Amino acid sequence: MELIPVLNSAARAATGTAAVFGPRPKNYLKGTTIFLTGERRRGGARDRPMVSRTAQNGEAGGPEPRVSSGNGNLDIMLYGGFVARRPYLLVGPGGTGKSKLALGFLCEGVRRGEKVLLVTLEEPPNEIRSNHRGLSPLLDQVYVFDAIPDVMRYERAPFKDIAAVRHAVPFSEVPYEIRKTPELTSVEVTFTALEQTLKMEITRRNYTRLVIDSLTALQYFCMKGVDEVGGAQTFLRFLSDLRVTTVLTVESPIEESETAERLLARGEVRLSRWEVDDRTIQAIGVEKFRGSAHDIRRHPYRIGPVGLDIDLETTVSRDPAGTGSARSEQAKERARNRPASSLPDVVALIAAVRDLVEVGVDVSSAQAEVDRAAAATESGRTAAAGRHLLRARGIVSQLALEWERTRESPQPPAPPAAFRSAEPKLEAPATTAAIPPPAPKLPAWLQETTAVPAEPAPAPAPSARGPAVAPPPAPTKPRSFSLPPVTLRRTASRPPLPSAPAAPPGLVALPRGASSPESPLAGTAAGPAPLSVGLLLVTPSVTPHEAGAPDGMTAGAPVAPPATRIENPTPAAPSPVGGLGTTGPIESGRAARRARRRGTSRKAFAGAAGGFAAAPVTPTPVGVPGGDGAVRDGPIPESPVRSDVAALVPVPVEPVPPSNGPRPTPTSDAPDVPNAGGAGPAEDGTATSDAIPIVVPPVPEVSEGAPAPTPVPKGPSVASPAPTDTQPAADAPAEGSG
Amino acid sequence: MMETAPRVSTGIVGLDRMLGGGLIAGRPYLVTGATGSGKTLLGLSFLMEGIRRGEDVLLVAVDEPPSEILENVRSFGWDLSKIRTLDANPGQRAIKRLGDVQEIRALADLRSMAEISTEGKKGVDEDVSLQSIHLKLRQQMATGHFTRVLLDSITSIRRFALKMSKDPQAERTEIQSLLRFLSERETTALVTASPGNPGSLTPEEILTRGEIHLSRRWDGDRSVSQIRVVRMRGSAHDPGRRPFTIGAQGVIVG
Repeated sequence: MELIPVLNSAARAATGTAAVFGPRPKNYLKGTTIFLTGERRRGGARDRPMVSRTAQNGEAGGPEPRVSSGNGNLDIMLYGGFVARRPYLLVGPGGTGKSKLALGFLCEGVRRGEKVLLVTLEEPPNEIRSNHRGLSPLLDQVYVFDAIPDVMRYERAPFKDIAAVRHAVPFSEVPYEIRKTPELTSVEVTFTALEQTLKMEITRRNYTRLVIDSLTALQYFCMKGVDEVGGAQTFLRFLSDLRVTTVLTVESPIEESETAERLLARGEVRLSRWEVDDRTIQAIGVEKFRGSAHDIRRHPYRIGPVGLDIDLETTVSRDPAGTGSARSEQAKERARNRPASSLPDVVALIAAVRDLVEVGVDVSSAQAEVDRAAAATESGRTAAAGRHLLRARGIVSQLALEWERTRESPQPPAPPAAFRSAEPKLEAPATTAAIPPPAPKLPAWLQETTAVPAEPAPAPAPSARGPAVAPPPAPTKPRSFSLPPVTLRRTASRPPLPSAPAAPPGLVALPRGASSPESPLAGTAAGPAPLSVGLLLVTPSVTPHEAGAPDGMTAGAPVAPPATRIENPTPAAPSPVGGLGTTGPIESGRAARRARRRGTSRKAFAGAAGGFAAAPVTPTPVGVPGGDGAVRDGPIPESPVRSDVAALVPVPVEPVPPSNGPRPTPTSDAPDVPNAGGAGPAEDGTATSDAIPIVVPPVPEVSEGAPAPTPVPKGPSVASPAPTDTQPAADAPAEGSG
Repeated sequence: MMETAPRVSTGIVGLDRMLGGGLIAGRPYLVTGATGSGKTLLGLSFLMEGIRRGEDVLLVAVDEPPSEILENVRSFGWDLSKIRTLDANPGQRAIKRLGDVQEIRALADLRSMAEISTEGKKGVDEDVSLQSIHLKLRQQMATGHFTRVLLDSITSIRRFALKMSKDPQAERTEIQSLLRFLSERETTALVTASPGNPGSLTPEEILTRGEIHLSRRWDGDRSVSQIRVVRMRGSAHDPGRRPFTIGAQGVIVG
């Protein structure tokens, strides 16, 4: 097995991937996870259009590259962006920013030198031009096709085919006045005519991004005599055949309605709006995303002049149960399931390695990492161990996938019986003898779990594979749209790293990470190490893993350790609002930032080394920055709730050079139980609709997210002490849009 | 050229502020709310503001006969006399309403122009169709330009005037066409609507560029009217709810 070419191609792909995070206006995201974007940028090749890459090797059978949505944070939620050349839905009630988001998607294309087309059926082009002045220079190059039907003539008048009358023009040529229906003829827009026109337009200019705004209007006004559902189905089918990345906006007042387009689209981004206490909360969530992992939480956002400002660090959850007791019940339930979820990860890794050995793949590279991990564990450097394990896992995934590819048949000849083992065989094979070392150092909880092999179904699979697994059977479905109350919750966790964006299976952290294992960046590099679903394919029988597992990964462990810390809240702890434990991590300087990254890596690593990472949790300054954390939050108001949770998070496993001197995290009040909102474990995890061999970054928030739940056992869960305090959209004016 | 779209005052200072300066000229907007929540009065105050500025304004009254509207606002001391009115309130037609769908549609093509002007003369012609309203508007607009139009209400149009069209597609298209017509004439239009079924989406919701919602809430033993800007394309706006009162001074948003 030639590993080098694989790694090379992975690296190449990684560079291309970096293009996903192209340059965007400064301050666009106001500091929210900017560091991610910034780091990506350093990867270079930022301006290379994704599309050319598509053209080159899109047909090669590899995973489709990703296409940036034009919104950095949405890309993160999508783990890199839309999968190229598929239709996606942007669903939400009027005025939530669908058009704005869609236009941002197009403008991103323009920025990359692509040709992009907007088909507008609701808002006249002249109004779009004036409404979205903020996008101006880029918007001018967006082609727009005015598909709004003319004013009806009740008297007989010749109808003309729309294709004969109208053409796409760039916005710069759109007049400021509304188009007038011609005196004698009027154009009736039917969707068949529109399909023809689109085909023509696309042949003419080779558009790579297409927006239909909106599909609802198309259904309402252009499908005379056609069954709405059938029409939508046909149209979506038509769009898939066009092989252009398409975003369709859908006006949908109700949250749950199974419509044809929802079933057919490859993905759905939903914008929701709730009214809570006379205020309006808007949240964005990825409801469905075929072929990729994605962030399954909903994040609040605000509409700014250039697009949606999504707050990835806050989630919005709606509490279907509504009662605190029920919530804590669920939380306990989850806590019970948690330890089980982390173990099989290591087990699966071992099993995977063993299987690879069985089929004759050279696993020495992975072995080396495992050895290092073991050594690190011995010496108590859990974070390092985690990194190594993570790398090992990346390598194994890669090898597995590669092997899978080289084989003729899709099924492994020797069905990996080992994979069926959810049971902890820590001392399993000789090849992986190195792994057991953690055992002696295993935290009590882990050992405990070890004693209870083959945990039922609840949450066994490794978190890293979480993404590949169907959403969890959470007690309370995260997206059970009952009614408010809406709870805003600070997750205090980094958003999923989109490292895997387009990352082909091979994007192993090894090359990068190995070069600078201890650099602050190493963590991030290792963190997002993509876990190929390929691994999953090889190990089909691994018990499905609840999406929430990532969060559960480390949770079992932290439960105890943080608790001790919690008992000694910093005396200096000011009121939660007073900046203590606010989101300082980012703002409190480089050290903290670095720590943050390490935390991220740890999170990512969760799966493989959940146990390692979890064991000796050390208090860190990260959650306790004395600084005024509110600063970095920009527009989104700080809230006690958030701060508390942030404070709770004992991110790093190893002490980080404290900027203010190490302080125990003031978690005493531990008020906000992240999942309490009935969001279910899934709320913290990721899920994917389909297991397509696409590289999936490990769920990052594991270790950070995990500690948060820890307070659960300690006391009554305070789910929403001040739900609306975090209200992002508060009373401040929001920019409207279509 | 035109960098920022000119705004049109609603005649209600507080509401203008909520809208970020007023409605954007030449676009249709929707006012929703249950019956009695003050939609019509809000719309009238919008028209009155136009009168105050010397504009030509038009009221298309489908819900209530204009005469009743006049009486209703008399207590406020509003002078509506300068408002041009298209009385589209269907006459008595207890039996004819059940008339054959085909027949009425066929008639509409030929006679719709006359329908409203001959209202009350013949039973058959008393029916108001959206087509006839549309054509009548077109006729009116050919001679004069109205800068403000209040269509009160589109729900009534749908219930009564569109009763004959069973094809939802046709109904949507007609409403689309009417709204498109208004925006092509660069008329700032307010369209009132009662809330329909939650979850069902009406064409005017899709097509209007903004929505103002009126609601009531019980505060102890009295009801408080509240106003909210649900959406507003191309403009920053205040998404919160504000109380408002209707009195002699007009509509006041606190």
